[in-house]
Amino acid sequence: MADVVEALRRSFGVGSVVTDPDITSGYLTDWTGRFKGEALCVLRPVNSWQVQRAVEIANSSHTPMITQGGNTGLVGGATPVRGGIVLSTQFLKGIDIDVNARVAKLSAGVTLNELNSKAREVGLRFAVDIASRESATVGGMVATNAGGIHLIRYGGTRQQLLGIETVLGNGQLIARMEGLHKDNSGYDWSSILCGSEGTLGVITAVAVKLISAALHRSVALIAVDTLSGAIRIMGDARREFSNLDAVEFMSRSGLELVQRLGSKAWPMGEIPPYALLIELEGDDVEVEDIADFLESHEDVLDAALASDARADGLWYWREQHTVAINHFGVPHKLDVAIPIGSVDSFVRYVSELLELEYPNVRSVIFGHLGDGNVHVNLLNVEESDEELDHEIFATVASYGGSISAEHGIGRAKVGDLSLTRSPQDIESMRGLKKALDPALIMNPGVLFNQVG
Amino acid sequence: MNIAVCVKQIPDQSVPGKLDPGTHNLVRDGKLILDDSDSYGVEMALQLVDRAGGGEVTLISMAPNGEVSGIRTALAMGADRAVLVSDPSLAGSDALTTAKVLAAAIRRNPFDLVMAATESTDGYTGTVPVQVAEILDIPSVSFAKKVEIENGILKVQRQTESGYDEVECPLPALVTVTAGVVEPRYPSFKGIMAAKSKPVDVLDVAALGTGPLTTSQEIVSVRAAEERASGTVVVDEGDAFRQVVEFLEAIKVI
Ligand SMILES: Cc1cc2nc3c(=O)[nH]c(=O)nc-3n(C[C@H](O)[C@H](O)[C@H](O)COP(=O)(O)OP(=O)(O)OC[C@H]3O[C@@H](n4cnc5c(N)ncnc54)[C@H](O)[C@@H]3O)c2cc1C
Repeated sequence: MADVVEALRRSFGVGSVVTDPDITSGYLTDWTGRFKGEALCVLRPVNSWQVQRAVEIANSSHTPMITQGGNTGLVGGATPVRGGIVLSTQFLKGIDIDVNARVAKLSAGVTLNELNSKAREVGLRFAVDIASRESATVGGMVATNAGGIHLIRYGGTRQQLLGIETVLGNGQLIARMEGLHKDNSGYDWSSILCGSEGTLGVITAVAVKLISAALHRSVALIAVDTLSGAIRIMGDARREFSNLDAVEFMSRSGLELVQRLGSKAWPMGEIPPYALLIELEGDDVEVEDIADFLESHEDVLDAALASDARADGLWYWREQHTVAINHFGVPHKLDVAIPIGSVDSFVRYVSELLELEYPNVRSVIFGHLGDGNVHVNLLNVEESDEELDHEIFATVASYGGSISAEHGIGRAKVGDLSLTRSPQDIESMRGLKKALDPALIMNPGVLFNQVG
Repeated sequence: MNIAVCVKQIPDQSVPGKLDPGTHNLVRDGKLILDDSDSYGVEMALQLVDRAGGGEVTLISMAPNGEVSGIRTALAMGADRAVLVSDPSLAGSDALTTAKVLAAAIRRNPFDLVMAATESTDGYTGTVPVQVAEILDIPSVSFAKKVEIENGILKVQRQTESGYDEVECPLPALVTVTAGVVEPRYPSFKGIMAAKSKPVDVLDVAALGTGPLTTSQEIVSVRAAEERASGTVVVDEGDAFRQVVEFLEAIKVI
């Protein structure tokens, strides 16, 4: 195995191959702290040819290759297995924006914030937004098909993709980076790689659509008694406003953690059982219109409203959830999709299950209500104890939901994939992987159990 | 306890601003919003009136185009009424003219205290409030981080470089409030609905009775700020600490 590191050093120079534990340690643990790994080295290539060379070396030596972007993934998908190479995309940094075409061509290691600050200079932005924007990379967002807070209006990452450049596990470099809006000339590599979680190849660059940035936005943080009330407000808001671009929900336990962690006090009286956050975006959006709508709605207990920069102070209550939860323990994060009509029933079922059978577990439930995406976070559960996870995933399956809405399967949910995918389905996915990654070096143990 | 709060309505700061090439004044023809730095004074005024057990918070604003959307935001927070001076002749007013206008508008109603931000976010001369106090012939205390009123005496914690001074003065007085010292409340939907029917008196210069106002200050030229030289990027290849130490030694910090 030392030979692999030697071979990499000969190809890339000493500086690109890192083995110093002080530096590598940051790459070996995931964002939540639940997944920890070991690696031969961290490799930081600076262009696609170097990536291709690295994949060749990994192939010929049968060394696992774990691609890592911003390491903000929440399912352990970028955490290495012993004896593998961590390929970090952080030095793949190129941004090229065509203003008239509204297309950005990006190297995989560009972070969402870097993309947006460049795009904003010309009045544009990327439609997908996630709270980890500071570190999450476009390569990682494509590899996980990140969803985020504006999916109800603009779709997820897959809907923004116009092209991809990738080095497949078999060492082939495939480039479809012209930024075509239409291209039906065969299999669509962008779609195949999107959501593949590093198991088929390394994404080295992507071409994506951009949308207008210079829009005015208004936000209402709404206190409600029940989730069914929140869903009614959402339904009516969707009828009332054509420019609704976020509908998020939170519950009391999460709001309490956010309040405990920070210095801000909940902006309206006592923390309610549930809160709903809606955002409207457009040139003619006024808080008065939202206030009018809320006043006439019987499910609204109270609401705080703000526009533009001040709206960030209301988003704070939603966006601080992930950070606050991690502050108070190492969570099990179950990111699930439920048919929207059943979200209320599902959340009540899970809450009751926890209360009756797992009284020591602290749960924080929140999510993207507009997408039926529920984040069930469990604290005070042993890191390796998966019994409760399985039980909740089985419940999700019985509701016709998915065990991963937007974070992916990673290492966290491998054992549960069969709950939402049939044996034929899984077998065909394995077949695809074997075709593109015959030596099975790309992110082994993620998505599937070790493939034989 | 009646408090007048000076509030400025300014162009949205998230949109890059433009200067009029002829007058060198900031272009303010779009939608204007409540200057964030004024929201702290509004919050403090609301708290003081609350604690005093009664009284009114009156907003005082000057805007060229009759704009009220920023004022509505402060009314939705809980202020009771507003006086807006809007007159085409005031476009591009300098700080002293602005102070004369605001002082004349404040004088129209009885007041115990005037509050303002230390400076506006778009103009930041930081001179208007003290000029207002001078014209009204009342004492002024700047850079307040905490304001209390006890037995008719104003008690202010006034921020200084090394901490704060405790200052007292009689009322009526003017206080400028440092940004960030309180958490301004968010308007509730009920507050926003109520704000729609709160009185906003819109006055022109003639109605103020100040007599003719002449602007004595002129912006003769505007220059772009020098671009900052790009920094040095140190990539950590395991020896970054050495490079950083060398850099700090070179600039004689260590
Ligand atoms: C505070 C917080 C909020 C979040 N909010 C959301 C949210 O709203 N919606 C959402 O969907 N996610 C969210 N996430 C999860 C996470 O940010 C996303 O999954 C993101 O897309 C991961 O990007 P990354 O660059 O950090 O990828 P990493 O964590 O480095 O990797 C994630 C996966 O992608 C693979 N990968 C990364 N780069 C490449 C590449 N170039 N080629 C091939 N495979 C690659 C990795 O192997 C791994 O399997 C959140 C995370 C945090 C910490």
